[in-house]
Amino acid sequence: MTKIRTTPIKSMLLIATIIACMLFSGCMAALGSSDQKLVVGEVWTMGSADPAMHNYELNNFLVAEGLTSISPDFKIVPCLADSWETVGSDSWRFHLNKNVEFHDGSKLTADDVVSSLERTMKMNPSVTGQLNIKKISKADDYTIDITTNTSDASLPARMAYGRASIYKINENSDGTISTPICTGPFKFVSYDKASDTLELAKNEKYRGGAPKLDSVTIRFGIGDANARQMAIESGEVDFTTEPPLGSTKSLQSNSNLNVTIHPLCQGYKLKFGDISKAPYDDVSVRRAIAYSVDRKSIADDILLGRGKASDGNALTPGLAWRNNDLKGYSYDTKKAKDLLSEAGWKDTDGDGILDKDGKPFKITLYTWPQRPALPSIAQAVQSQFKEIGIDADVRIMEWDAISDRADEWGMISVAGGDACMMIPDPSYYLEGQFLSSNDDYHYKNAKVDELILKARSTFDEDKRNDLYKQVQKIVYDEDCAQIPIAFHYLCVVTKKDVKGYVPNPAHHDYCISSGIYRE
Amino acid sequence: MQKTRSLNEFLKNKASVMGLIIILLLVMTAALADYISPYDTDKVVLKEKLKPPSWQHPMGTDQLGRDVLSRIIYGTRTTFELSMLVVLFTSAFGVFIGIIAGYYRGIVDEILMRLIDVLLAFPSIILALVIIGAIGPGVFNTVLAISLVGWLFYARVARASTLSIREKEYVEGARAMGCSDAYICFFYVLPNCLPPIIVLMTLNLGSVILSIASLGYLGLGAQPPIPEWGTMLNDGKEYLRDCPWLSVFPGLMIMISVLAFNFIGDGLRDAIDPRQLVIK
Amino acid sequence: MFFNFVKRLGIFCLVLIISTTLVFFMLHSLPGEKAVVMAKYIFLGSVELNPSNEEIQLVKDKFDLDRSLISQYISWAGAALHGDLGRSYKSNDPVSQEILIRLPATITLAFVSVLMSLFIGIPLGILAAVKQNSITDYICSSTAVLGISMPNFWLALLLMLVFSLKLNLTPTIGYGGLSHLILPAVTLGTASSAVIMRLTRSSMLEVMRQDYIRAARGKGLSRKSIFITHALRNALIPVITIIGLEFGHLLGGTVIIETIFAWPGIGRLLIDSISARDIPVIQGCVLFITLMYMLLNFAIDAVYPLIDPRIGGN
Repeated sequence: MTKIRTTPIKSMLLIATIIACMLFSGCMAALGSSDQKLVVGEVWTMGSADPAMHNYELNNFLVAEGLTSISPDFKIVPCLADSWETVGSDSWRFHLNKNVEFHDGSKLTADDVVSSLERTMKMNPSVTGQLNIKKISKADDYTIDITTNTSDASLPARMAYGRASIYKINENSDGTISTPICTGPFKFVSYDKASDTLELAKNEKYRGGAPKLDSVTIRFGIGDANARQMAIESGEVDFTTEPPLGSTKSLQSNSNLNVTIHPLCQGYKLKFGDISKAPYDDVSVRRAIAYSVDRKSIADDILLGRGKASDGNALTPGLAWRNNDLKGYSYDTKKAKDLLSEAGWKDTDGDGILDKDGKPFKITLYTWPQRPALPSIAQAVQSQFKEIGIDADVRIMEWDAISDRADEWGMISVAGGDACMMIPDPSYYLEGQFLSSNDDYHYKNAKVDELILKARSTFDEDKRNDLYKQVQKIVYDEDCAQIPIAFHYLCVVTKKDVKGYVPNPAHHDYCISSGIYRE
Repeated sequence: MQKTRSLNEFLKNKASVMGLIIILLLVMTAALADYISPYDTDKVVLKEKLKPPSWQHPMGTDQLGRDVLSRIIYGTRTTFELSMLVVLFTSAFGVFIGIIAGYYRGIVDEILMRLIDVLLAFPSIILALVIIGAIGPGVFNTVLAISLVGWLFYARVARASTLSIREKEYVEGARAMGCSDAYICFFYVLPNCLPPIIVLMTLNLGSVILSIASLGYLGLGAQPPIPEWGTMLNDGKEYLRDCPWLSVFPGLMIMISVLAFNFIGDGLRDAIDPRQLVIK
Repeated sequence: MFFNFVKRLGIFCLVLIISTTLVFFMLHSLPGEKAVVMAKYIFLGSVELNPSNEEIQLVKDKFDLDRSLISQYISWAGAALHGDLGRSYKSNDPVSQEILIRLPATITLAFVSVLMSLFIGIPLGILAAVKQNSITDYICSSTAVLGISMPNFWLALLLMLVFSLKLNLTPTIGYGGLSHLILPAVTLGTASSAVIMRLTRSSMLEVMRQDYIRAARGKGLSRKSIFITHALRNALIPVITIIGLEFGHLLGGTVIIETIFAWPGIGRLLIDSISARDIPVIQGCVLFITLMYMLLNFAIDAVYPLIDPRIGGN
């Protein structure tokens, strides 16, 4: 009897050994080697495969295309449309490229453009709002007329919006699209939701010549920067972005990898919670804060090569509408202190913190953790504020929680991301940030409103850009409505044999290029 | 008499004595942080960023040029205060609930246990995330979020022990002698379910330190520039490969303190259990 | 027996109602207006942008958010009773599908981790208890202490560094074959093995001092026989509780490990849904996790009387 009773322990140990062996035999699974294949490790998760609802993924991975597109040097170039012109003050005519084929082999016609844009606008008000389209109609099989709600010079740029793509309506019975048929260099093969993986294949018949890669696999949702770094180092992915901030040097010294760092149209800045209320209703206080930030040291010592100090303008250098002649605010603590004391902020009780009418200058800096440089920047700013006598707390929390705190006295958010080219037109960023009706931090300047609205309906490019340059002069130099700190650069890591990647800083966040090949 | 024997028993255990020494050292470090820390913890000197360990900075400097050693020293204070608070609070509450449920069984037990089931059904970290999402991150909120789930384990274990203890002869005896329920729970059940609770407390002190670190790693713990080991690990993870000292030292401190608490707990368990002496 | 079953079933339903209600109302305490947050996730795909008023209104209309909370909850619960958990606000897919496609990943990981901790924890715990104060005991116990003292995200990174990068044995991330399972399962299994080993050991030692063991020894029964028939059985009671809890927790998903290894499980679904205020999915997950938990608890409670006949019965 005792003999039978002893078996459980022994058999347990036995099974344990077997399981351990099984597990470790699985380790030997070969890691896929590739000919003309590319595996991309993506930060975010894939939103939806439906082209009306997707978040730029189909566009960034060259599946879907729009009527126009944006070149790396920030020019609106033909894509599905060959050319376009204005017909009257609120109407545009687009002439389609007649040689475009969908992935299923059918020809692209005006009907497809009308139906896909209409479907997208019906399902997605965000696109509707951005496109500003009143009516879209077919003039003939290869010509489309678009009437805008207001006279709008930015429509061609808006057609390059990553979410205004043209696709075939192959809806499921429930009205969604799960296998998009588009026109880009790569064809949609499958999207596996469980593993968040998108499979793409070469579009042999792409009008500009087939891409060199046979297939692309995108593994979404690798949110952890260290995991992405290890995935590229161990060879599981061939292409990834934004490895940990501190890893640039070791990645660059890795002979199996290529590291590319290039500008993006994104930046870091300080945004006031409510500019219409004390203490920030006083422009001297805003200027003092602008003077107190050591941009160069933040860019050099925190961004570690992944960015560049701002010259006082948040718009990315190289944009035709950018005002490059802003004065900006240099790092000058003395000026900052003088401005504050002129504004009545003095340290009367000798505790090192300024006060006015008995109220100490104690504020809170809010920021969020998803962009890894932000917490460090916030702490650096905090210590720079201390130098001029402003006592700041740092709070790192979710974005939604932060926008709830905008009413707090002295609230400043240390912002990152903030893409200025989501729609490749100056109206996108400047209207969103400074038009009093859009603005969420109560910035109001009638002159700015007037200039912005006038620019939207100004069709002469030079005149239009000039209007936007005036806007920048006012909001940044004169009003100091927000304080740009630095530009954000994207870090792309690829395996050594991945060649032909051409960065496109205009894209949000990045896009692969059809010229990529494996050597 | 009993106490001295227990003490001797405890002191015979080398691991626990070592643990005790480590904890005493750490507590002293926490208490004397103001005097022994070589630098200001939140002094940002960007020029001095990411310096490897050297004579000036024995543990290097972090991404903002702050001295890691000083932050580790102050971090001891933060971590100890928080974890002790959580464990004391949760164990007292959990054991109380657990004994009541296990002793009375029946409807009281059902209600309490199902209540616990409801709470346990939430993954604790997600509960903490929701709580901190609602009330914002911070030191006190960290304690609150961890405590809200922490007591459940004590309750479960205390109940399980109570279930078997209440069937024991000595409890039957006490009941026969007319002792009140409160008396029995306090003088018979409580002492007898202490050994697993103490094991759990020691494990829990460690796991609370780890939970605090996890919340810190997720960026939901103490807010910078408050030095806290978990938050430091979170800051350091961006520099893991090139500047490992940012993650190694806080990680090591977490491990050492957890280890020390466990050693002490084990020794204590062996020492305070009077029946073990009888057997020997 | 039948009455017992009905009672349990009643309690079971009560728990489901309480937990879904709790979650529903808790979600409304989160900062940010729900419609605004939802609009961001549904239409903008970025948390850093502000939705327009039209978008917010559309979300409100589409999902009927202007109604009172209670009526929203009731209509959700009504549909759920008919087996309809609704559709995800964010992806527009049925909630049951959202959960089901993540279920295999979560269950596999939870099962393997728990299995691993069982097969490592219990035998080692017994071994350490039997050979108390020997070298074997010290080695087992100290390893266990090390196991629980490691922050698991730290262990995950170390394992990745060693096994994936230095030795190139395992893939670091993702979900697929058995090989992808190893690192996350080992990471999660390490701590639970250590916990279970320690508990087995201490509970074993505790039991060995009981009167009945001494009585059995007095009767002259062999060590082995005492061990199996008396000691092990009793020692496993607290261990089973802990195993149940561990398993339940793993089924609820492990946010940090799932994030580090890009493991597509329930935990990540839940956390993504919380940030997006995707209430049908959150409710579905909670319902699912609660259900799993309750079933596990039933199982644990059912196992008790088998091991310790003094508990349960009538």
